[in-house]
Amino acid sequence: MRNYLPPIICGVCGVIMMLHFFLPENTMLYKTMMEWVTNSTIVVGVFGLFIGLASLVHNHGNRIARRSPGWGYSVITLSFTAIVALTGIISQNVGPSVVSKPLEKYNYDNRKNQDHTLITHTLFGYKDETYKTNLVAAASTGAPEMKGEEITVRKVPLFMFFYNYVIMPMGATTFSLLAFYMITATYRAMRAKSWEASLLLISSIIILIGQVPIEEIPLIGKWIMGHAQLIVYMSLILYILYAAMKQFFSRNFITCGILSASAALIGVIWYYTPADVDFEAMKSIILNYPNNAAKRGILIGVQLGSLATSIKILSGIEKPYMGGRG
Amino acid sequence: MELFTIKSLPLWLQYVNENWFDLNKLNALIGIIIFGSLIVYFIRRAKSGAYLFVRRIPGLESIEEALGRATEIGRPILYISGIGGESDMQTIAAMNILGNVAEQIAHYDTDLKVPCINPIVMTIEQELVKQAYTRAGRPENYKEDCVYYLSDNQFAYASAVSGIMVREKPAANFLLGNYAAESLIIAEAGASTGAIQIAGTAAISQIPFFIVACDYTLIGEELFAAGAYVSREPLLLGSLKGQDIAKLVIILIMIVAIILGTIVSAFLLKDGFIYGLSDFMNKIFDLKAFK
Amino acid sequence: MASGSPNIYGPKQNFWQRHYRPLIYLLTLVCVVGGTLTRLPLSLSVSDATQGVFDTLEKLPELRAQDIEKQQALLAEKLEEAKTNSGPDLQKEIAAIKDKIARLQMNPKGVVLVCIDFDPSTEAELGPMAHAFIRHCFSRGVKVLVNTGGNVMSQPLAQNIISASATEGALMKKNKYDFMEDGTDYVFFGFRPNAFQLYLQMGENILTAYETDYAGHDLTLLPIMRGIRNFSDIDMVFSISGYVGSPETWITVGNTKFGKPVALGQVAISASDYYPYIQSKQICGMLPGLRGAAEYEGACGSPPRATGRMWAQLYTHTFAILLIIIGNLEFFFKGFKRRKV
Repeated sequence: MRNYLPPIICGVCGVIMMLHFFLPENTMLYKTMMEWVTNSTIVVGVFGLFIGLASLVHNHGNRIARRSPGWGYSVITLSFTAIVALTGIISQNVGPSVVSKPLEKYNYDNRKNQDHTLITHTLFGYKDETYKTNLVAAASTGAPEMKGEEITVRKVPLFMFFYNYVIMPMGATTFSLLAFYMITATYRAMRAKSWEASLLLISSIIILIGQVPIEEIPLIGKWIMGHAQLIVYMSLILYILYAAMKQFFSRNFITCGILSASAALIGVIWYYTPADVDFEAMKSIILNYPNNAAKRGILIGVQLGSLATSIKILSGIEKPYMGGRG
Repeated sequence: MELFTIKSLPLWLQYVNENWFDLNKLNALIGIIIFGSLIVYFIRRAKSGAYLFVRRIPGLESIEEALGRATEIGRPILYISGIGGESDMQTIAAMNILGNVAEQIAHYDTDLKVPCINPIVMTIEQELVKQAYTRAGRPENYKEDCVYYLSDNQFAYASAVSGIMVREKPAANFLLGNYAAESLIIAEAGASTGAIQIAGTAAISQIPFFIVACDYTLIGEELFAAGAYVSREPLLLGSLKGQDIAKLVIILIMIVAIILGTIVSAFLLKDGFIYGLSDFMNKIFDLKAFK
Repeated sequence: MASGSPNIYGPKQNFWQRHYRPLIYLLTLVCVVGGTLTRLPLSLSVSDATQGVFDTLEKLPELRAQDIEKQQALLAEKLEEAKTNSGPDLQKEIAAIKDKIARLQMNPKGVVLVCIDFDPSTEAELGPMAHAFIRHCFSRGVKVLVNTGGNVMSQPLAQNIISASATEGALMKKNKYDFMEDGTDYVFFGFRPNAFQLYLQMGENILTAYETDYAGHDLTLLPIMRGIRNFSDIDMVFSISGYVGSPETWITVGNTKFGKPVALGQVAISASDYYPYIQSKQICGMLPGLRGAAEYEGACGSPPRATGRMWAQLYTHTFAILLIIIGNLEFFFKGFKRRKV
């Protein structure tokens, strides 16, 4: 029973979902199945949440109990899990206060008397200075001068405080690490070691330049933008001629001839390229043609792989939910 | 030119279309039947003992090397199955490989660490690793804590994994599954510790980062082929073959469609057999063929 | 390719080769800080992908008018049929079409569904495009429905964005619009789990997918929902996503299933994955990363939040190109040196 029941459930549910795709949308059966699937997924998801929480507490609790290396991190993890969970549960009226003034409304008689304020955050929380910040921000956007001394005080929920001052900056910080890693990866990887690597190099430089308004760089920006074709085609031709020369000195005359002919062909393409093709246009060409072709090829392969994996799971050939093979 | 409209069909078919089966998706059903049949056919051929060639995939050949290295140095192996959920195909493919890798690790008696981002994936992988140790005849070596949940937040998970890599210094890192922006953070952290790294994903935008930072990379469908490649089971090899033949069928259809489309554009055809055939080929993959 | 060694240069290294990583990090920091402090205006040309999004939004009143015409033509057909063959099913159909026409006529400028599906890590790129798009909608009188995708972290961000966009319009120099009221001009549904099934349910009836808005107000009581029952009453979907899989879900549900124009807002890393969908017309356009956001701000006259950040991107890209050139020169000269020996 233990060996047969899970594959049967998997197969039956899979076939039901597959049949569901083919049902017309306005039928009762479709709507009933939809509701059943939605509710089941929510229920399973909630159980999953508890399992995750239990695993987290168990794992980190064990580390603290055994004083394993790094158990201090486990204390921090568990305490913040509890703190943030509590802030989500307690009342929304518990939190730091915000002092603000309502903005002047323009011909706004038919609207309710709402507090239309721009709340901006300062480095150390919400303060009276928030209003000054808003004044400056509002003034810079051409708003009329603020009038009136009416002040409103309202609470910002503690959960939002944690979200704005802990989760947001930390998430942004971790993501911004990528910029530094990418620059070092670019420096390490972008070398013209082979002709494929050279193609990659040239296309990445074209896209790097095309993505930004390079003409804003003083002294050379406008020149680079104005001579895009010269830079790209000349680099290509020179690199190919360099490779041809290497082949010539290695006495590979046929390869040398082919490379020289390629350089000449690129020269012809350059001659016929319209004058208005700059880095941005080249970037669009690369993204719309070779990039699309490669992506589509990989996508088709990946989707076929997914289809085959689905068929294997539905037919019980592979049973990852039961610990691998049958 | 419209080859088919719903109103041109007989009344009983219109009734079926409204109540039982959306005829716009008929091409999807035919496609599933054809490709499913190809896969089943090759599975049967594999079962009957036919030799099915699979080309060499360097990343998968080096798994044993990585495991051996970790055993020699005496450091753990880190296996990360990506950030996808339990229904993500890439996660399922990664879990298939985990089963095979865990079985080999059980033989070597090396430490395995599998930090998870999804609690449901964690429970599946716990069972998977336990069964792998049992199959290898070493159930006593299985540690319950080796598969554990970290966080479901993408960057919290990446930070935690980077921390594990820097503190515990695993000798081999397996980064297989669905990845997003955290791929480079994890891969660079692993590269900085000197571990051997084998990565694989079908997320196209992350492949360049893995290629730069990892020793071996499985690109796209090599990840889905890995389960069959590593285990060499006839059933799995057969399905891999069927998948490849299905791809060949699609390529042939595309080549014919391209040739016909080029002829139609070049000669500005508006009707006739070639135009009709070209229009039909274009509609084969359209989910709104019937208007 | 890293082969287990953290440094690519091997044992004999000069100062740069020993310390290139921290030096590159420091210079990148200088570029980013310098870019952030540069407060000069930037003019950018608008790409086809961005123009597609802009044009689709501008054409929404036209699309709605076409929809209404189609429904009216269908109604005329059914009424003609009713003259000869009147039955309860036909009467029901006629009532449904009349109801649909009434709903479509309630929002003649159009209705857009904006799916804000990113978390704070990608807010720097995607936040400005969300602001710009929603402001553009408000300035054209388009009603905005906002929901979040599959991640709960998007909800507070979406809340901040929609409430800021609703109030800032009156303070803007260009493309001013009045204060937008929650429940009348826009509604924020909040977060619900299980995104894919939710979107499919929205195709049938939004009120079964979302019973209340994020603040707990009953959706049936909100004025904006009187003219919106399901996907057929929505004219366009704009999905701003930092997650893998979410745009594909919208393309499958929004475009393939319900035939609505879908536009995407993507981080630059993932943007190249979605150009095939533009070519096959499964999406009407895309805002690719910070550049797309800056282009869109310029096109619709929004305050230049993304445009200001483009300076940092410009300096960093220039630095990256210089590094590539330096690296390749080093590579070539090393080759010459090796041959001399």
